[in-house]
Amino acid sequence: MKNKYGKMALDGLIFNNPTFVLVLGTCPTLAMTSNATDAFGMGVSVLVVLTLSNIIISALRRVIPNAVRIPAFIVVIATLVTLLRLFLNKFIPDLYASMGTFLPLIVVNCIILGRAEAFASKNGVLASAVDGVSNGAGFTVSLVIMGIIREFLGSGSIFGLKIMDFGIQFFAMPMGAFVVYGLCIAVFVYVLDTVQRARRIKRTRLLRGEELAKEEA
Amino acid sequence: MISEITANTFATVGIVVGIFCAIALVLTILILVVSKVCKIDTDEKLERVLEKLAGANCGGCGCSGCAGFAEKLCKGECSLSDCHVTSPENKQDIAGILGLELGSEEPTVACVMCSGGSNAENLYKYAGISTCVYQAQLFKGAKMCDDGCLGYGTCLKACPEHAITVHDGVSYIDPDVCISCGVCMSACPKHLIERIPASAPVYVACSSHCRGKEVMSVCKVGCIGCGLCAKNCPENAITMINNLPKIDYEKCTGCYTCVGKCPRKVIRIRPTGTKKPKTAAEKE
Repeated sequence: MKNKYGKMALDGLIFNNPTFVLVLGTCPTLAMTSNATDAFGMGVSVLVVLTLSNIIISALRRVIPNAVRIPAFIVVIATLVTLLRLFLNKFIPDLYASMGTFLPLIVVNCIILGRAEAFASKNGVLASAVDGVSNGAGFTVSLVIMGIIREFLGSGSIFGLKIMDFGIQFFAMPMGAFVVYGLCIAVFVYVLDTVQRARRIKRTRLLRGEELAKEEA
Repeated sequence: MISEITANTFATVGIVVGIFCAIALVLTILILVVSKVCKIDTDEKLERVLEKLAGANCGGCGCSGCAGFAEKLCKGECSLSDCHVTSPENKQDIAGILGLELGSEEPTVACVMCSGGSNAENLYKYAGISTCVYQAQLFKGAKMCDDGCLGYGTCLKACPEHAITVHDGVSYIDPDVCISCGVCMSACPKHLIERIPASAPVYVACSSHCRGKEVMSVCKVGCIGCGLCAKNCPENAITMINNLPKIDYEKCTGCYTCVGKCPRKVIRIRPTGTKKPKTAAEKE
């Protein structure tokens, strides 16, 4: 059982990373990564909504009729986002102001609806919670990586701390977001591919080794 | 698929609707409770000010729409006179809400200070992208006059109220439609559009500060800076600044002496059908 949850966590975080592998939720990825702080705020907001929506939807999965499941999911997600907005507006108004319209847009974030549809509506509460956290964390990590790259190249700072006195305006602008996103995907997929190939080769060798051992015996 | 409607179908639909309503009800209660907990003391003034603003969202004040303007007004970062759209009565109300003092203002309209167009000589034939902004980058535009309307309608596209048309190569602003937001003023690459009082009887249809001889050679209707209008004005409302008359509309009584004296017909009577100047009784 432990192994199963560990595999799920790795799946959401790396092997099926929603941002870099599945290329879901691109709108906030492009819009909210001009600096690392905003990217982190956006990532955590999605993580919270995703985890809670996964838990609620998986708890309600036997109650919600199949024919109206998508409206029901959206109702749950919209509620959670509304609560999050109220919460942020009260306690973290700076983040609320910098996220602007992208905060209510979490309602239609395809990672959340995608996980609800593909996972939470078919699996238990605990598994869904793990899935939500791992996918949310995958999204957050991806956004923060992009945020750091763009903030450093765009203004020479990371998380608002000035490191070097230079700045390429291009990377702070939307087209810079597209370029950085594309390069991030390329690097991520290349590394992932190499790792998985190495694993496969290792496993086939192991299997063959066993076969050879059997033959010899 | 529903092939035939039976009592059973209604029962199913009822159950579905019931479940949905139950979920919605629970979630609504949750939102209501949390919104009570996370309540924020919003500025009551802000909403009342916003209600009184014109709501044109033209951006003429330089803020992001009327909501942004209201916010800055409440903080004292903006002046009410930055907005030219809101009616004077509403401005009075806003001043009352915020405890500001409001000087008496007359409504203004934007006016194109050029009548060149086909009357002005061309320097070259322009065949590029049809906006004034691009044309102005090429030898300051196709007109030989440096302060002439290019007639490609950049102001026309900028105007949120569609008050601008181009006649005969010159933009014309319909004063009845104009809300004096100032968007065209900043859009015009030649800065030919100015605000004048809505009740102004005359205006100077030229912006060229060049001397008479130069104007003569490039435009049939440009001001040559002779100064006859300033000399003959019975109210001394006109002064010559850099070869161009400047009308002080507070002194102007609308006698039209300048219109008759101008040898180039540059000082023009405002087109008919304008907002009527307010009478003394109306002002009170």
